[in-house]
Amino acid sequence: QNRTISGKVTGTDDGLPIPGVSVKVKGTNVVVQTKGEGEFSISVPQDASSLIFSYLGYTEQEVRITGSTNMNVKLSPSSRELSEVVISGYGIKQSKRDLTGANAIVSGKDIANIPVQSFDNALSGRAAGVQITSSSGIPGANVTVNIRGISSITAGNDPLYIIDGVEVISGDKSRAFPTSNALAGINPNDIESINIMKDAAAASIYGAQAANGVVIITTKRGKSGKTQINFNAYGGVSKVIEKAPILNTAEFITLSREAVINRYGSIALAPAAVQTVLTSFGDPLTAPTYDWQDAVYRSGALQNYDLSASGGDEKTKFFISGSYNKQIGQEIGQDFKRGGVRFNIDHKLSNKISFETSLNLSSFTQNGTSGGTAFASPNRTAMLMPPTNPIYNADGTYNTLLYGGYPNNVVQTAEYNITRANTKKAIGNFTGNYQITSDFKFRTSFSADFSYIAEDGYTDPRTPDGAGVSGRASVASTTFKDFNTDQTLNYAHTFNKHRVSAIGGLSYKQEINEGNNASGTGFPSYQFKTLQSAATPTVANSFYTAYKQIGYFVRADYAFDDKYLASATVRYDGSSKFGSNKRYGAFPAGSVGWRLSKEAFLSDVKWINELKLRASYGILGNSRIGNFDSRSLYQGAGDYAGLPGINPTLGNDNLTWEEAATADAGIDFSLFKGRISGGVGAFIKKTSQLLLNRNLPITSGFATIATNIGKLENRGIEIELNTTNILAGGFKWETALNATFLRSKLLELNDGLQSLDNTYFVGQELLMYNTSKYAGVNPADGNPMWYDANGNITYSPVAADRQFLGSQLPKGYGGITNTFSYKGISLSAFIQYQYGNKINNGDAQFTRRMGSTIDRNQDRSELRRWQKPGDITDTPKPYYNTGVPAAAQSGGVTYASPYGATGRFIEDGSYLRLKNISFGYTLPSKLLSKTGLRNVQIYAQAYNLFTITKFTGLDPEVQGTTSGIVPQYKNYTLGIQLGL
Amino acid sequence: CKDVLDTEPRQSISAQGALSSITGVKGLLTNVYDNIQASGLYGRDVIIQSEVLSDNCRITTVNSNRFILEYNNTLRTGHFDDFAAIYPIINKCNLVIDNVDKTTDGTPTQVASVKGQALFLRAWMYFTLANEYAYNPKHIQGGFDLGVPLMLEGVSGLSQVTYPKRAKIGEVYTQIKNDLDVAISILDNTGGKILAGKAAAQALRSRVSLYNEEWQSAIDNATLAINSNLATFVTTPTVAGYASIFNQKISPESLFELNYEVTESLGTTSIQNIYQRLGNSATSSSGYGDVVPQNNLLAAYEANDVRKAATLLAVNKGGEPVFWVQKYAGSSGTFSVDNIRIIRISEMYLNRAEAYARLGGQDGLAQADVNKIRNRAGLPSTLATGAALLDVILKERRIELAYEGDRWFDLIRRGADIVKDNGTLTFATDIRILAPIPQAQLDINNPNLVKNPGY
Repeated sequence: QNRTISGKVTGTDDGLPIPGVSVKVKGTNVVVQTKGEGEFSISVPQDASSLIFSYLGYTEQEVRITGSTNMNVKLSPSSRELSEVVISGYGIKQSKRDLTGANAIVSGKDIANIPVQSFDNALSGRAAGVQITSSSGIPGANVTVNIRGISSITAGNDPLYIIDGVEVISGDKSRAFPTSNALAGINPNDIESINIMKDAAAASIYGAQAANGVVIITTKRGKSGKTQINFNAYGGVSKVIEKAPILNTAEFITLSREAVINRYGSIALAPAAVQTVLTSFGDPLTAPTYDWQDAVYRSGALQNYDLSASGGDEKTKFFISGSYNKQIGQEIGQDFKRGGVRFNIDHKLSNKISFETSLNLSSFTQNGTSGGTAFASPNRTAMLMPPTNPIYNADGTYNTLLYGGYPNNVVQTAEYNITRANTKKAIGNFTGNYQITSDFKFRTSFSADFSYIAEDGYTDPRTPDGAGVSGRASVASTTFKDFNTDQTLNYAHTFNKHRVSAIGGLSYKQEINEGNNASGTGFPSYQFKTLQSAATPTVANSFYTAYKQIGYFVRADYAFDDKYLASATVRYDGSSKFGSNKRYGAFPAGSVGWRLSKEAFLSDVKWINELKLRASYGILGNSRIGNFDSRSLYQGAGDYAGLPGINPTLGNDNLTWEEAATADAGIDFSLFKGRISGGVGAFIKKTSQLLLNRNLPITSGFATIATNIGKLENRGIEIELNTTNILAGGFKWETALNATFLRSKLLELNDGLQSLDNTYFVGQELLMYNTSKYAGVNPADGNPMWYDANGNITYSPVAADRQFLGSQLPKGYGGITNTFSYKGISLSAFIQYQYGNKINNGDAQFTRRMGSTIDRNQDRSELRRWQKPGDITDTPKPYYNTGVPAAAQSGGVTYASPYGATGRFIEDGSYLRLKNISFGYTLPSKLLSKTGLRNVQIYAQAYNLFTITKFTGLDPEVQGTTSGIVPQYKNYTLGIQLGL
Repeated sequence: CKDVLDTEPRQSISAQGALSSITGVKGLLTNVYDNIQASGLYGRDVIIQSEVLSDNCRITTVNSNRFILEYNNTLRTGHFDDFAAIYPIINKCNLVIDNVDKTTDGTPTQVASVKGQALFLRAWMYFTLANEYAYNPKHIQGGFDLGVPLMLEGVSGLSQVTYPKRAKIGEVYTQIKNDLDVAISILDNTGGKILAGKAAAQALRSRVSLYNEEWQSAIDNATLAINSNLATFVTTPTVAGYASIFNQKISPESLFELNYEVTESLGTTSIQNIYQRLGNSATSSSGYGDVVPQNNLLAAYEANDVRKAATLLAVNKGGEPVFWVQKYAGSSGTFSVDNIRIIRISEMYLNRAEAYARLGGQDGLAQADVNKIRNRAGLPSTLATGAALLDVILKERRIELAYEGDRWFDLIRRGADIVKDNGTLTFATDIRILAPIPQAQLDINNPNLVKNPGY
């Protein structure tokens, strides 16, 4: 005789009821699910011993049946456990314990409230195998994301981003703005989880787009139950992370004089013009210092507000949110503002039919300044402006009569000129599910990503650049219209010890990218700033480009006895980008897993909760080649005598994707009841069919053609480790660590070439610095020295003396988070690091050349210049105009320039950075019970707090050359989170 | 069959579609003119290099570091380097010639005009290559009789790319003459001076014949070009009169010139920028004013030659007295924008005078032609005959066409030594008479390509 047990299931995290929990009578097939308020009612046989409660994302719980007919159960979330649920492509949900591929999962909680504008930036240091490099400290700047190294030389290394099933555009899509991140239109606080799929087993379902990895972003969705309102706000201040150490006026004048004396013997012997300049500097003892860096950096401010509501019933669930983010940059003229809303609505029409919709609307505006090494770039010019130049005239107006090599008063240009980009985004998805039978489900999905970028520029006629043309205005608009649709059939069946699931489907995508731009000159006055006031239109242009792709895919997963796992995927992909002979290709992958912890011989080992070996191999493609690169085309180019011209391009019918063959093996574990968990993996990724230009005989009319030749490889080891170090008396200390060790190698170039662009060398790491190695200063005479090919000293290195000084790519990188919590208090510190990479300190080529020029300020390291025989230093004796002794002084020796593009400024870029430290306090619920508030948390954060590095430039968080890069900011924020 | 992936670009047209209409083919022809306009070709470099490689021009002491290698005739690096720029142009001419007959919408007149221009431009480009990279067929040295690869069919796909050998210089000349003869037979002069017309083709044919020592043909074609009435020979024997040849946007004397609109300004890489500075002011920061006449050219001017005053301006540049050339003085009304005169009617008189003199027994006709040039320059008529008359004609040619890019080619087509202020290049022995075939083309791309002697 059966009896009925009923009760309610709630979560230990928020105390809320959990609907949809599967409640099973142990040892039987009797299963029910909890309803909207977490309540259940199940009929159990007399001999039943216990009920098993399971729900994705929560730890499974077995509860003994006692005499009582009432059973209230609390489930705890299983974050950082192998039972965590992973959402991969095309709506596939998997328990992490079933994974046989290499995935890195980042919870939305880990990146919430980090004061950056885009989630990709916030991923920095959070996941093994994923390297994020900021390009700039401009708010909303684009970042470089390299998953498992650089696998392409010319075709791009961005991963594929998929947000709620929508393949979205990423990267910097602006055309004139210094740097803009297309992903900054997504509010990071809307994100529930991020799954970074790194290997072939995980990513191959995306075929020709997957070689750089696939990043699946899932945003928050509603849960049925009482509607929850969450309000979150933070605000703070930001400051430049570091100013350039430059000379004050006294030092500047002293060094200028010394350089002139070294060159001419005395100031009196110098040319009259040079003497005039030195006199104009004034007396070093009394002349004031004008701090241009002080003038271009300011205390920035940031604020962020999110308001969300989520809830629903069994049929309809919703998550809606609105957000506003504003950051006033730490450098003048730069800011970022974003407003956005999100609607995620799910509806269950019947037991068979359900819908999911997601919609993100946002607009963000960036104001900026001329960037990089432009004369009007504030940070760059502030570093180099002679400190003798006043910023303002006595009457308070801008000083524009500036001595030296930098004609722009950048405080003026930042105020008067306009450099602006506004991006509007709409990302939406509609998905319908139809449960055909208990085993078969059909899923149809339609998505769109519309992006519109409007850019404005104005060069004020009161500035040097604008004066000659009486002002210049420009506008540019760029639109992306991406549409994709997926149709899939899912199958899942369990019989005896066999668990089978499969998905088959097709995916179609098209992208249209078009835009126009115009500019004009000649404005009546500076008060007229828009193009219609321009007297002379100078540019009018437009462009259009598009591509389409289609993929057919099948994937099957099999598990035997939850012990042996296997998975196979094949995708057949075609793209309009590829040449007509190579338009379609197949991308297969397979993987296996073995859960040793399920084996009998480990069943007695209590401290092993989970132990899994996994391995995979597969082929991925990189289709990030130009939309029409394969085609022989004519396009408008070159007019003559008022007639329009057209110009041919040479197509390659064989042009196709780059191909990455990836082998991966790893071990995942959870020990001591989850106190220690993590994974260790190794991979080898060989990219072939690299897209490179092959030289043609010019007699054909064409110099080069893009062809698939060349090979490179990346190999690495990835470690993820999560530990609970202390768990006692309510105190908890947890550590999460990830580390990546990476090596790249160029295997082959086109036509037997051994090197490309003096950056890529066969047999070497990618992005290699190859130049002459600096040997310091000769203590006898203060002149710069280099090593020749034999390791001997030379004063004038030649091409044959170049040597490999290291790669731009790190040998290793990672992050460590330590979290301490006690009752409602938590303290978390996140450190990120990288090592083994080299940076070309490009700014130093300008700031460490006192010998050459006295028309720009210099780095303080010039103070340790060689002054007398016996001085041991790395900074040569300064010589005005030449940098090295002139022919008449050198005794016949030709000296290479000490500030030229040699190894002198190739520096170690290793660093360790306290990226984020946060403190939070959650008010006890007792205190809140009368207020009606569900929870209240107050938090404080510091970002980019300090950095340990030997790099002498502004910021080591760059890749390659630092030249005029806007330095990163550090900031301090205070915030509050309210739950209703 | 139709593929779901078929995607058509909008701002460009597939190769098959673009050349099926006469407007498409015309667009390609327009691009050819545009390419030839570039600073690296006839916009500046070919002209300036011809002047500084030869005995005409030098570089000022204070300079922008441009054309110094050429003035010093530095081995390998100081020479013409147009091989890689010209073959893409030739390929486009070939594509025009291949496709223009197949267009369905072109009228016979349009087809003839487009085809004739393409033939002219192809001939001109091969003539440029031949003069830069090969010995004149009548002055072969050491038996080195190779010209340049003859590409006569358009390449529009990878499968059509070939690795050609250099044709004999005689074959190249034959091709140039054939192209011009066909062009003459189908072109008319309705396109004016800025598009290649019948008279331009006749004029170039005259020059080619002169270079190939076919004197009668040089005379006949020069006469046809003169009689076309496309160009007007300026006769006023004054400084102002002579200057009027160069200070108008379109020269009255032109049989063919490259047109530049203000929007096509070559800016700092324009020919005016290398010959002078803005406002002819030595202190201006716009322009270089680096290329000035050598002493031996200045010495060649006879007293009272109005051409000296009309085309040279004395300037003190950084303490150095030099002459700035005024033949490209912003004649379109904007600094840096000048049309480039490719063939003037004056050259036709000089071609014809030389050909008459070379034929022998026609010195009277030769004197008449050369005296038109001399009298217009304010100089008395010459009564010289025989070899002395030929010397007068060649000297007049040097002065009349100075700074317009004629000189280097004029010397080496005659096998003459180059006697410069800074040294002499002996025609018979100096390998620098021929420009080097680009090393990149020899090394990687085309093993069939033979380098020039001595390189």
